Amino acid sequence: MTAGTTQRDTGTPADAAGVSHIRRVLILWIVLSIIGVVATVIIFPLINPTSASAVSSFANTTNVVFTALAMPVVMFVLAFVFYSLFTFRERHAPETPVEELPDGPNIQASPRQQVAWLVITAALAFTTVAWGMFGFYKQTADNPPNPLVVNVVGQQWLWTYSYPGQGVTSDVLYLPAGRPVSFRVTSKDVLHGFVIDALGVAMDANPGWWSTAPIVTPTRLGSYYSHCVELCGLYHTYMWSKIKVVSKASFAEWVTASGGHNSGGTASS
Amino acid sequence: MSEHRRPPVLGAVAAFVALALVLFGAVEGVRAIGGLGYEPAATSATTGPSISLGVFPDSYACHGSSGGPHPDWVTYCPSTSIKVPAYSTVTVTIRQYDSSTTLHNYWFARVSGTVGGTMTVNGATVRGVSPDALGHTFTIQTPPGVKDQLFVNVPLSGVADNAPDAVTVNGHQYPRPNVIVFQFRTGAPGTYVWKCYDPCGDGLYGDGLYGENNFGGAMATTGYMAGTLTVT
Amino acid sequence: MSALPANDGSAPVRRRRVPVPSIVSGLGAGLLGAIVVGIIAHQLASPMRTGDTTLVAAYIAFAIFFLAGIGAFNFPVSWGLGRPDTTREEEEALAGKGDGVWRYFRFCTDHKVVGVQYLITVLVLFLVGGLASFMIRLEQAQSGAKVFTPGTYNTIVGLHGIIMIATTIIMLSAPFGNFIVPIMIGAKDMAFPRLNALSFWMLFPAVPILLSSIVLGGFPTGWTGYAPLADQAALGMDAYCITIVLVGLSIALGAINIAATVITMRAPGMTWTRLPIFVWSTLFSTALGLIVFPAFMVAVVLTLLDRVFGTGFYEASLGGNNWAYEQLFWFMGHPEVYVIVLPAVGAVCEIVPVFTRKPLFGYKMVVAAMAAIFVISMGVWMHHLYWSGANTALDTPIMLSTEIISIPTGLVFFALIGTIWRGRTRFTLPMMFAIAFIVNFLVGGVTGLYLADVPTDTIYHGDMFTLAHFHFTLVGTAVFGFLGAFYYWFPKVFGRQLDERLGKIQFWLLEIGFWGTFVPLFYAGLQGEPRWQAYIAGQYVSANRISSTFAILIDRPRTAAWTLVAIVCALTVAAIAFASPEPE
Repeated sequence: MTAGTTQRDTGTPADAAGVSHIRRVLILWIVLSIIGVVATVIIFPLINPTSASAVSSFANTTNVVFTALAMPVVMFVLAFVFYSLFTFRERHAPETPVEELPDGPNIQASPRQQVAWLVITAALAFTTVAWGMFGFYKQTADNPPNPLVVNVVGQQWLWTYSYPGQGVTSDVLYLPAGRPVSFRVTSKDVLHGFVIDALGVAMDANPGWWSTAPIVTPTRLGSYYSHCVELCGLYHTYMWSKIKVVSKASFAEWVTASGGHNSGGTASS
Repeated sequence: MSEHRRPPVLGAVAAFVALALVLFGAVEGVRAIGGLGYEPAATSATTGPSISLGVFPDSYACHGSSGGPHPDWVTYCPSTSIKVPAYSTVTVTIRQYDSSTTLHNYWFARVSGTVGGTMTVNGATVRGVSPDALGHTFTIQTPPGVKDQLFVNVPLSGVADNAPDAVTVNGHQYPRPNVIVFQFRTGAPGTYVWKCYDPCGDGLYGDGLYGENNFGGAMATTGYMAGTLTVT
Repeated sequence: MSALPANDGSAPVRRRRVPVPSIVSGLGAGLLGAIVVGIIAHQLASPMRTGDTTLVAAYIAFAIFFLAGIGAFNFPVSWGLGRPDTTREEEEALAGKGDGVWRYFRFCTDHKVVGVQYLITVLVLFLVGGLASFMIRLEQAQSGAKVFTPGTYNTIVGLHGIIMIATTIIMLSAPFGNFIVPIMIGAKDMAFPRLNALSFWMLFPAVPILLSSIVLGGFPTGWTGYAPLADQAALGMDAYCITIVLVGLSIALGAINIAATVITMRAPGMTWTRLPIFVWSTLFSTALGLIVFPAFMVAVVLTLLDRVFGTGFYEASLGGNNWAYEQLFWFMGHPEVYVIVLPAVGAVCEIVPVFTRKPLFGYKMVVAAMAAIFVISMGVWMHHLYWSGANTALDTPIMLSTEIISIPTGLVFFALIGTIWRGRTRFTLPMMFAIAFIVNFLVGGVTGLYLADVPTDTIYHGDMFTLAHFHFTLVGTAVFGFLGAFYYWFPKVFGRQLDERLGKIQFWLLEIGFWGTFVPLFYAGLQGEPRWQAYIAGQYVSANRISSTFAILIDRPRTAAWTLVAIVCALTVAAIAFASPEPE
């Protein structure tokens, strides 16, 4: 095997034609990253799902931010790889015997490069962790008083909702806008997953246990869905139910019409 | 140095066709046997606007003379594939031959979604039954995205545990059934699913404290305690 | 079968024409044993659980009697009975001398034979799993559970999942770990040749056992086999459980063998810092599998105990807990994906230097990265369980460890970029697959970010976004890495070359089909489509704010139908390319 250059070659000096490949690639990377970030910031909010609470809109914002952060990373890899593949590719004819092909230079990583890479990737990783940590903490740490408690019972293959404070049970989840909701979830049989995407609620329904989801406050009127996200048997695919976020007055009317009672202070809190 | 052989185009096309045929065969084969394992093929559908169903404590009434692969499973008869017309009021009569079990989710003891929110049991109009006095439920639910939401829940009263055999169906003896009649309105055409929500099948053994028993077997198999309702 | 001349002029080579012991006798003995033991078990079983007891007993008997019938126990039994040690002729016969093609159907200790046996098995399993994936896309190509009923669909999804997972776990480390690794380190064979053959033949009976679940009601749990649905499921669930036990044992035996071989049988002068990178990756991957797979086996054995003996490990009403299964499963489940990815990383790190004619950029860095992945991967599994009801205090440390594991993964990219930089690239098939590996793993890894972070995981958990992410990482790395390695080492293994042009067509169809299939699924997941949907809703979960222009793009039937066609083309041509070797 013919040996390449034995001294360490870091690829930075310009080659015979006076071209600095590193500089070209960096420019390519910066241009692609700018395009990527701009495209993300413009397009992603258009395709984000509907959000009906602060929790899910934080998730939507995180979508955009993370994608924008990821763009330079992705473009870095793509720019370096594809620029190199095409600029330095073997130009001898394919029939040339392999023994006659010259080798590439023996480039090895210098400790400085390795440390720099590690530091930058670690910084990116910790940024995303910090974002997620503090964002989620902000959403879920405060304990608003007097949340509406909804007991969600999952059973193969239907969700039923009961409101212990109002004495109502229903197969359609009605929620008053602006009032914090605490979902307590359980299952009667096997594992189910209770998710309301629009509100940012996710909690497994474990048989024999009540699990409480972080409190969310619906902020947007409308019709949404909850669906089961843990495969729970035959009709898992049909385990959807309707969520209706209505005004507080409509909610009180519905409670009364369903045979429940609006406990004191519910209409206004 | 070898010359390049022509790629075997004929072999490529043949392999493509062979794979497509294998896939086609697999799909059709699975569907022809009515599914994988115990999903019996939907035979003749029961069609409306007036539907008559029976609920039996075993499978001899309509799964063939030997009771099918699970003679001891409770079952709806004659079929679990029901067709009803769109934009109409459908009347359903169910003869319930099985004894009672206790519900795990008391909400299903209430009638919901029928015309008037009621059902008649042996002639008497009620809005629900006691949670330990029903043998099965007939509950229709809507798959995601179907245009018109339909939700009907009807608890079916159980016969007494010591009721004597009084009726012969398909050569087998059953007690006198409870006759339950109710009506519901259909909207636009679509396919819905229905199943029994009173755990009445095989499965996990426990004291039922948190509800984990009898959810398996018939409860989870179309042709027995689960089926489709097609609004056409 | 050609007559091989004896190479030392001594006794003539014994030619075994009768198919005993071989796969024929193995299957015969296995079936016989299964039937007899099944009947006995049926008589002894308690009336409430005859089905499960009979089946489990029959399956275990099938596996044991199959192995006995194929001659796996011959040596231990004769050693235990104090018979004289095997002679050199017997050892050579055991290694397949004079058997010709029959050696691939026998208990053969030659590592090259075992490697080829694994290779063919992997290809066949990949085809079966691929058929199941076509069926899934057919069902999901239109609204309504029209092609298959929901129960059938759940079984198909489960079969696809478990077959593909088992296949990708062994995809690179079994065929090439057996064939190539001893050659790379200069060893004559593996450290324990008989154990090597046993590890392959232990995997073999798992296949008919798993497929038998089809006629026994299927299994409704998907590939994860979650309890308590697994306790409730019909008889087909037992087949799944026994399959996992067999696969786990096979992996454990293979791992021990590879570790022992690499640690003790390196040629003199091959120090650890001169070990080929593929050997490092295979070592790490199999060692990780050895450590974590028993957790899955335990979880599945407890399911069997629940089903056969009525214990209450996973049933709350009997004092059990479904969390037990989830924790055991995911303790295996997350490191397992690194078991899948690491050998592909190693293979790509072998291929790229060859076709850029440069040494690997940062060999020690890559080894350190793989070691870091090995260690950290055992501490991140709870990110699959953010919403399981576990204490939210665990969210932060798990988010941290999950993000940290992206750092060594990034080092691998650094190494590959550095190797390609200024490399004189020849765009041969293995190199193309290696480049596709880089691109696919990039997308897969970046999309993992959203799932690792708790706020976005609220909307992506159990979604098609998760599905698209793990297909990008698993298929994009393991399958592409496997195919690259396959094209690269095929001439070494079989002595012939594959048709390059057909292979390039296969590559492009696969890459385009793969992207076309899973990128729309990212979008579907963003819009909230959950997993395991036999019935695809015509609209999505939340009210749709998107303008009608984008609405055309999310017209599911068209997108899915196109992806189906793409996959069909891709995998078909994969099969074709394999079937058209060009003698060189």
